[in-house]
Amino acid sequence: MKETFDKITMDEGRQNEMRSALLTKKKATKVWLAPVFGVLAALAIVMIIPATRTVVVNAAEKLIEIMNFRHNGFYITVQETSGTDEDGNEVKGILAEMGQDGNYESFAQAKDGKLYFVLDGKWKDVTDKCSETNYYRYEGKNKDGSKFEIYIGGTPDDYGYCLFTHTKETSSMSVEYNNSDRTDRAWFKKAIKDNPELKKCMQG
Amino acid sequence: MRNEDVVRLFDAYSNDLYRFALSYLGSIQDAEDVVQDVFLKLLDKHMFFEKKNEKAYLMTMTANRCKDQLRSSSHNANVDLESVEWQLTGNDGFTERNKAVFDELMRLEDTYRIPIYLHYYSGYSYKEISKILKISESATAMRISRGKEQLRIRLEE
Repeated sequence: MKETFDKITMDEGRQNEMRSALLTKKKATKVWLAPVFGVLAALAIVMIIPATRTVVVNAAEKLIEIMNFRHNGFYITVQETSGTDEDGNEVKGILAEMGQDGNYESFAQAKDGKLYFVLDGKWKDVTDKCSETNYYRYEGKNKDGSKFEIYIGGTPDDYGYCLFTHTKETSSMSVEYNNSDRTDRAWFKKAIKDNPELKKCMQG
Repeated sequence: MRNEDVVRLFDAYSNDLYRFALSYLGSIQDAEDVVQDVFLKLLDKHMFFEKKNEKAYLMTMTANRCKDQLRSSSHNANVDLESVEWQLTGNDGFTERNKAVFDELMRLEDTYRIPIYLHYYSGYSYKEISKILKISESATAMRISRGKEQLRIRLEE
């Protein structure tokens, strides 16, 4: 194993690019559009920026925050910057970070045969509001003014949530199910049908 | 942390972190992204740590970032292992035997593969691995033992 992995090194060009970015303190900002949907705990984040996996080099120092969602140890931050790409063309970049910290807990949880909507430590019993075909919807606002919606659906045995965050400029969606990666949940289909913005976000 | 300090860490450990991220994610592109994110975070967050702990700290940051990456839309969940191996064969002296070893390791479940990599390649103790992966020492020992057994059976076949 040692011999094998010793021979694996990062591409020299990519390494130099990163090193140079670190030296000049100019961030190499990722821009992407890669909607992945329905996989367990997968995130589908959709940006208004062109759908390329381009690296923006020489990004401006100033970043404009356009979304800052932090609840349940789950965060999505989106910042906008402008700069030039590797060919010197002016491009807009989006720096998006998402993930979970050590305090993460799902927005949908089942306990003692009941289904709960959980937000910032508060548990709300939504068993009666949810079913295989129906959902409970919560709408909230982040400190930065951006809005978010959380849809909880299913039964205490088979449930999930859809988190939809949006501003005028961008929107993102993340979906998590408790025990499967099926995407054809009726409650979720209904949520999409009821809210065209969700569909728009999925389609990019 | 100053730029030159981050660059020193980058020069010293970028390949270690890259190998670890590659073994974690199985994607060259994702592994490169993770390495970049780890070092940018050092600049952004003004982090400081003792020199003797720096590698372990960076490995922990890499493990955390890999976990995030697995959940992110930018992660390619359907990485074609053969295509990764094909790219690796471009590295100097990466032989068919190396390819076979890499292949067998990458086909192990994540649960086993990552502790095995950290123990047998990086040389970390069970205690150190438990800190990096945030699991108990007994879980680390069990995963390494089971993973090793699976590897042994496969290699015998």
